[in-house]
Amino acid sequence: MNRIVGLETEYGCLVHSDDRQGGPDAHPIRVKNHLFRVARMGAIDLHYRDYEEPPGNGGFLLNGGRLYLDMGHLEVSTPECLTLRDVVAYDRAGDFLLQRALAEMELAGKVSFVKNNIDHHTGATFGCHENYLMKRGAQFTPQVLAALLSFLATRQIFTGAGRVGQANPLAFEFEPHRHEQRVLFQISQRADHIVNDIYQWVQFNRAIINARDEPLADYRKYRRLHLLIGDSNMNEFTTALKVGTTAMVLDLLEEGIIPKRVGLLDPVQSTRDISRDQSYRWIARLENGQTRSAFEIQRSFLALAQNYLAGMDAEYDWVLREWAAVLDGLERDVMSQANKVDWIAKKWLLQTFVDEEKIGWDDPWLQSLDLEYHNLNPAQGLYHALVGEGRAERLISDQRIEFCTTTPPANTRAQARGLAVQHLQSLNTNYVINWDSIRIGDKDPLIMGNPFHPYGAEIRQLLADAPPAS
Amino acid sequence: MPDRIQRPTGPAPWEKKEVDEGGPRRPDATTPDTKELLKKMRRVDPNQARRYRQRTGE
Repeated sequence: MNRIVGLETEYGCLVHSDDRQGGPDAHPIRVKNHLFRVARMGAIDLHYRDYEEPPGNGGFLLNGGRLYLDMGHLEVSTPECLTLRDVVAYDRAGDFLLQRALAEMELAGKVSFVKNNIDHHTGATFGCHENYLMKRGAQFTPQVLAALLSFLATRQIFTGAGRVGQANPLAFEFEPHRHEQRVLFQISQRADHIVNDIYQWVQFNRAIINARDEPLADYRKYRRLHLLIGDSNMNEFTTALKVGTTAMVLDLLEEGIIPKRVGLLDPVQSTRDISRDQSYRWIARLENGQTRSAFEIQRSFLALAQNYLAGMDAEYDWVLREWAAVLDGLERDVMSQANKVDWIAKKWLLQTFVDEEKIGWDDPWLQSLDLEYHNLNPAQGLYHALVGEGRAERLISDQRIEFCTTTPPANTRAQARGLAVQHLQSLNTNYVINWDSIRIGDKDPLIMGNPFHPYGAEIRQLLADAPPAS
Repeated sequence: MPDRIQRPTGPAPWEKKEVDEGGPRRPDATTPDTKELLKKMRRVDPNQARRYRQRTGE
């Protein structure tokens, strides 16, 4: 991969009792405080970041990422990653940090963090946002945007996390409209909650692409593509394929390489239609009035990627092989991809349960099992049960994930941030850490406008000039 | 963004033998036995989704 990528995940919190003293609002705060004050996994913010992020609300981590409270949810951002391997490892490192904190606090049997995106009963949704650094010179022309929206609306066939039931955020009610067919299972958690194609808000008017142009780097050179559409994935293979294919498509679009006949008439409607189509035909209507399947649209992007990006590096070649293999597998027999794609694994699990227990797909127990797929606790979560039986493909070892909880990537500016966090834990001084700058005491800040640069020498100099350890 | 870099190709990092014996395994899709999975699923509180009650996020 030749692009900086980061993921931001908001976790749900499930309390396994009717204990009113520590509900889903209280435990995220306790866990955040434990991670910074007891486990010393990061340096807590000493300053306001914005109106809703007061001092102490969160901070940067030893691994260069960030952990904070956002609208009641614990949210973890990976550091800036330059390889797919790192994106997957640091995403999993966030899971690992939260679960380990619960264990250290002796709460693991009472509280679970849930890496999903929906609450079946309130209609609430929370995200897994993807960030891709792009060249500032890349223009979002109507043709480029139409192609990108089409790719994003159709990639869910191999990136979805799956969900039981449906939501109707447009109507602000959570029962199906009278004229709407009841949906028992669909392939994406977020599809029902995406109501716009491109927009700047992140709540109540969620768009496939968030229009906020905030590169957190030299804005003359870079822009940041911020995607709201993706689901939180448990399966490492799904995460790698989601990020890898998207990064490759951005490479093509930046060079003006655009597939023909992919622009959708209504990308938002197609997102919902494809997610809900359990016939697996996944037909989308194009802006020219014709129809094509999600398979055909994905294969148009894949063919261009094979032509222009093969041989770039080992990871891209892996993506090209697996992208083709997964599309072939989905077309041949959807269930053949259960070890690689979250929504298929979940559907297989639930179908097995429905058959065995002789219950209907509308049984509310299935909502609880849907939730349990995403439980981070390896002793409880159903995704982890699949891993334990060798039914889910893993890419990263547990040892590597643990290593990534405390060590930043060496090839991005996250390295300097991680080093600063480590030193600031023992320095008695004020500091301000941001994604693109670090200020210690009264010294001039280190500006890190180039996220590809590790700033090793620069941060060592800044730390050497800092006040002595307390 | 830096100009495109041509890197040597070969197996992706996770295709190299990086994990030890206790680490991740490739899936065994041939195992038909679902007894343990079903036991685990039956232990899930049928009402936990009702208790979840999350705020909306971003």
